[in-house]
Amino acid sequence: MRIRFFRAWASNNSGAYVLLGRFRDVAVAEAAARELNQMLAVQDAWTETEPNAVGTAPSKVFADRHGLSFETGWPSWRRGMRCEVLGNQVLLEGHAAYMPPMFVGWIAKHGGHVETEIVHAHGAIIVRGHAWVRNGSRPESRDAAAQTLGSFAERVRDDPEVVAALAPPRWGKAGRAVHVTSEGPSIDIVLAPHEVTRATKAIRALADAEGVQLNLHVFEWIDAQLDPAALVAAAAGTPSYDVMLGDPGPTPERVSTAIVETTNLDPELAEAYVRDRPHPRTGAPPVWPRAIAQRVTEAHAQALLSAIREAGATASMVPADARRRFGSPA
Amino acid sequence: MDAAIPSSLRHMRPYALDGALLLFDRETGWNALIDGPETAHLRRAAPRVLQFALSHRCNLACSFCSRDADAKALWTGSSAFDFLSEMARAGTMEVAFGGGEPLVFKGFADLVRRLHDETPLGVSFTTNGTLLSAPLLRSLEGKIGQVRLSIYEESDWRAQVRLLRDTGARFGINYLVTPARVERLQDVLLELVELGASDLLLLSYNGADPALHLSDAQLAIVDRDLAAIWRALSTRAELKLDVCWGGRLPSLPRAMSPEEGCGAGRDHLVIHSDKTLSPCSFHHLTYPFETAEDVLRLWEMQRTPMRAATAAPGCAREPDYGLTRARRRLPILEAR
Repeated sequence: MRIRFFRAWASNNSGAYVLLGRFRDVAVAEAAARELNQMLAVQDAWTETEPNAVGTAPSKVFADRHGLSFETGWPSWRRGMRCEVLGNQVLLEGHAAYMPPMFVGWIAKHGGHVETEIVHAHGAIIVRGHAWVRNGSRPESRDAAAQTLGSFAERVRDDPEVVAALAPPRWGKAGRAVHVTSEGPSIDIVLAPHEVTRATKAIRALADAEGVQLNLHVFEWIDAQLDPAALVAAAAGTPSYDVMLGDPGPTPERVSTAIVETTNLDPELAEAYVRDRPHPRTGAPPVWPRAIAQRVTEAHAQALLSAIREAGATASMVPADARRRFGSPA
Repeated sequence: MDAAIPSSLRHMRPYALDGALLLFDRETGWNALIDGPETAHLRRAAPRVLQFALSHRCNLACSFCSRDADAKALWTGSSAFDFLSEMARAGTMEVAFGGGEPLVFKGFADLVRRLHDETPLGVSFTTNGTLLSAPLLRSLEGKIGQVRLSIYEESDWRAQVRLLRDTGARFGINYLVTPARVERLQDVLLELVELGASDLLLLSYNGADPALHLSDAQLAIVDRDLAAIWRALSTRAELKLDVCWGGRLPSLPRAMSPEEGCGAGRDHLVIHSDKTLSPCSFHHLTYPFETAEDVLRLWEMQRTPMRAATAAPGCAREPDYGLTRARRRLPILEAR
């Protein structure tokens, strides 16, 4: 008899899938989505009753019937995934470590094209909506179009569904903001929602209600060092701010912790900001005052400012554009 | 079999493996694995470990998380307790809560205490650390095997490690090794040890993002650096590799041979918040269930399919770890 000893307890360890497709018109998008959703519902029911019998999954049968590649023969997504129709665009959002090319093929088969496919995303998903009013650039329509777009923008900002689709209060991981920027006879809406389908569906419904044309884009925010809120703020018509750290004070470690806790900034970067060290990634030498947050919303800037001041720092917030135009304030 | 167990080990809870006997002391984490002619007849009666997602909710929004954030949350503290009690009676030894973030589950601490006090289960949990607090850790003292802290650059993991250290909690670190982390792997591990961590579990990436799989050159660097740091850490900290690494880090000594394989679906099961189960966190197979009896039946009946490799690249059950599978092809339009 052999006895081997070791010391261990069990542990538990743990992607977003987003596909945005476009069809020539709403009717084709609806037809393609309807058929896909029927299959997905059948798949869900089948999973409940006959889990995972090889080769008989409705999704596999569907793929085979339409000549779509499925590769593994197994459904890779979790139950409940559905295709949402957003005008002539469709959005399929779920969670999967791996996704067969079936859905991409399905869109192609209906004459559509895939605008974005993100498999197992690692960054925040950013939604950008370009909105305009048909014929709104004609001189006689311009005022009415501006009014319609203004009303649409207001409703997007206040819409409970949009607000609910934004994520919890920590703003470093995924910017919890919606911003609207006006450019001639159109506006852009940029947001980093926690629930992409919910947000896009809500914006689409508001656009339809206001008679606004809407084109949606989604992309992954892949810069782990920068807050996507910075992008959202940068896209905003409202002013954005830089937070300038003048002096970390007697407890730089508290300031560093406050920066990390408020912004989710990489602790190494925060630590470098409060010490007299070069930028850990760019190697740029320390220049005081140091910009510890750039192009963030006023609310974010104030939150950060108050947190680091409480930790003993001397700091200020300055309009981002002013700083770029005139240089850093002394 | 009892007669063959040394008296000094008889306080440990026995678990029959297939042809061997495992003894486990949940208070210390010590395991004794006994095999020989005396144990050849033994067979497993239940999964040894359940990795349990009470809810898939989380206070962070990491889009790389493999959990389905929209999965129904069908567990209550009471139903989870009843289910786990039944599984313990059937022979399950440990439950490891994950998520979602287990600390966002209302009543989590009460559930842990109750499981410890009223069942023989060893209870551990894995957390992103953001909701850890000294009062919480004190309230769980003596009730948990260990806390496993997942390290994310976005969170203040240094403060979290200090908190765990300062409260005397028994804890370990889960660290996913991605290409971006290769260069500073030694530095981070050494810093973790300096901060007070003494149990470092290195996870390999399972998933479809090719940018997160290590290249052969990166694997060679990790292999070299870890071998060096393993010697350097010596008795100061335990360095562990998850089973998904397989044999990809040949210079590192393994307590168990990689050839012994992955226990997903047999040794352990993942229980999801929507009352489905999977062989492992990354696996494409899910089976719905209602009762502990259903779980035991599925565990027994679906043994063969659950032995399959997961569709996600990175699985050690694939000879090539699923990393050389053909590139995805768009179906040709003639398929119309």
